[in-house]
Amino acid sequence: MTGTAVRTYGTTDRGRDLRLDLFRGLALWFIFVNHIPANQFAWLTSRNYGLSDATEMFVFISGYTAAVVYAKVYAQYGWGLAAAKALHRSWTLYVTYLLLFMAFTAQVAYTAHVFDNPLFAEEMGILGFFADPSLAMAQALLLKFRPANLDILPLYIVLLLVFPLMLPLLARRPLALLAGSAVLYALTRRYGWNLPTYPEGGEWFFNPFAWQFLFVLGAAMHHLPALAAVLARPRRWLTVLAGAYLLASLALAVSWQFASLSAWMPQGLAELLYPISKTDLDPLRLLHFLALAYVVLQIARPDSAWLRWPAAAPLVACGRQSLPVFCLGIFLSFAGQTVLVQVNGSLFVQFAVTIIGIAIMTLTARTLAWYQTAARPPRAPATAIKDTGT
Amino acid sequence: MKPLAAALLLLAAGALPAGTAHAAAEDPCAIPDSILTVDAALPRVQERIRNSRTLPVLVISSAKMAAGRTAASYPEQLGRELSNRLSGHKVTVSVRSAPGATTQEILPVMEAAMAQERPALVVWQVGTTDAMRNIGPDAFGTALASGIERAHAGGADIVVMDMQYSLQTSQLIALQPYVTYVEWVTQNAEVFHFPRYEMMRHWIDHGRVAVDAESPSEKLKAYSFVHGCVGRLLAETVTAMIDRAAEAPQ
Repeated sequence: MTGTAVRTYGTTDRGRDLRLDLFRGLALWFIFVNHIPANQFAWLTSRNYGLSDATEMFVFISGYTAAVVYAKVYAQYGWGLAAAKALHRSWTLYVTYLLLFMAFTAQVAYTAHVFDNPLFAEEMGILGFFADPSLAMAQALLLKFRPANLDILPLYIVLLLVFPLMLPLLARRPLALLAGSAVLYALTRRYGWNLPTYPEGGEWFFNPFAWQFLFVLGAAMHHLPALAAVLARPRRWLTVLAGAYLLASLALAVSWQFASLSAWMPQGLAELLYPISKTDLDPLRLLHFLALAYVVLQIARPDSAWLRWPAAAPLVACGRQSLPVFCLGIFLSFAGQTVLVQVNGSLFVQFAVTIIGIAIMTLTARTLAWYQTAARPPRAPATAIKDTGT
Repeated sequence: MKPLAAALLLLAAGALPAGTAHAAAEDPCAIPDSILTVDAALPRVQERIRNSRTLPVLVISSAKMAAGRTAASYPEQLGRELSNRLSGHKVTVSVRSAPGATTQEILPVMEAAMAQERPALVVWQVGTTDAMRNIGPDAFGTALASGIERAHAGGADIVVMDMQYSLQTSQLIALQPYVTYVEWVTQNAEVFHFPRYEMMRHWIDHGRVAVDAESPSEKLKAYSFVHGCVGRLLAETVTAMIDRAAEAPQ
């Protein structure tokens, strides 16, 4: 039974939008690189050149592909199996989160001597936030104790957790679901709703009540292909407008990197713009992502030849195995930072960690793809599916 | 893979800060302009100096200062350096700290201390506790803006100092979003952001200081280096901003 389901939405090239795989792969690489705090090569990633970053890309495409995968199962096998599959994925993420929590705990013990240095102990305490390990452990199980730099994982966990509840509405009334999601987003921004963290007083860095909008937007775009096509249609004025917004964002983002440039920032503009909340998915970030998506869609057509270039293949491979590669990437970024901490933080090691991490992600994605095809029992009547594909 | 690696390397070479070229400068504390640029003035300090030839400084922090080390700490260094630079003026530095307090929680402490000390300049060290306790960056930014307003209302100029940096601590505490908020809020309020996080990162990346030492003497060396440099550069920027205020048309 599982074999049938896998085959139905499996890895055949036919009808699969390579752009989804490519840009999700790119987002996964960026997330990996960005989550190594000491990595200078994070300069290469999109967050330094605009308001939105890989998170927006990843959440939107995840919403879109979740709709591709689960809506199909839902249509063919009913709600039960689709829900079970989504929950299974959510469970995988949760296990990854707990694994990372263990790695985090081990790292805390390793670096304790740094916190014991008066330089840091004075301001940070001697790991004051780890004063009660038993409580921290229990809070970690509840996703309330948050290891640093892992916040995107709990967001994805809850999004997949509630996705089965959205499925029926998504299948029948995608616009209604999108409207409901937009209302929740607006109310969240208005009233500041968020989930709590441990220790008391904190909140989720990626507010799921706000970020769900981008996820649902992706899912709804899959179910409203006509609307999506109208929105993405080439228009000169919209391209110019989007391009201008991207350029303005670029100037802004670059000004944050250089103190000497930020001195030139006009006072009134700063007051108007800041803060640009990442936690609550600021509309300026959302707009930046949409502008970026529009411009990219003008360049990347479904039949663009460059999507099939060998250079794009590693990205496509990673994007195609998104869930395991995402988990692996988060783990590798933690491991990478550990290497920089324990061994050597030089520029060369940063470069090596970046390249080796991306290589491991790509290799794993390829291995998984091979495993999925190889482990599948050989079956003759493959022609039967071909016809339904188009 | 190879052409990709080469492309990454090329791009990186272009994208990395250019400040590394003259890293051989004599002063181990030296920080490039791309990190530390004086972009604000201190009109209230300037006025106080002109009228009374005094500069009372108040340091607000969430640190737990150990009794034995105060002489090496940055507030002490700041006082000494400022006195040297402003000869003929009476410089005093007092420190109020509320260990483990968030930015919101420290606001009343700051207000009480201001009423008592009547400082012309407040140096506010922020963010560490907020990051460790996952306080929402938005709430942190709001509290920070409110503190700056209160300092100005109390007749003092303010300098905001962000968090400390190390490879090890940044793995366990996500400080960067809070540093970004400090930059935004200070820019909105036109006050000076003293970028300690990026400065320490610069020193560590360029091998000026090693913070992962195990022996007590090495630890003390790192402590003295960082606090010494922070105190001196803070004094340098404060005097630069006083001069700026003096030049600006009133």
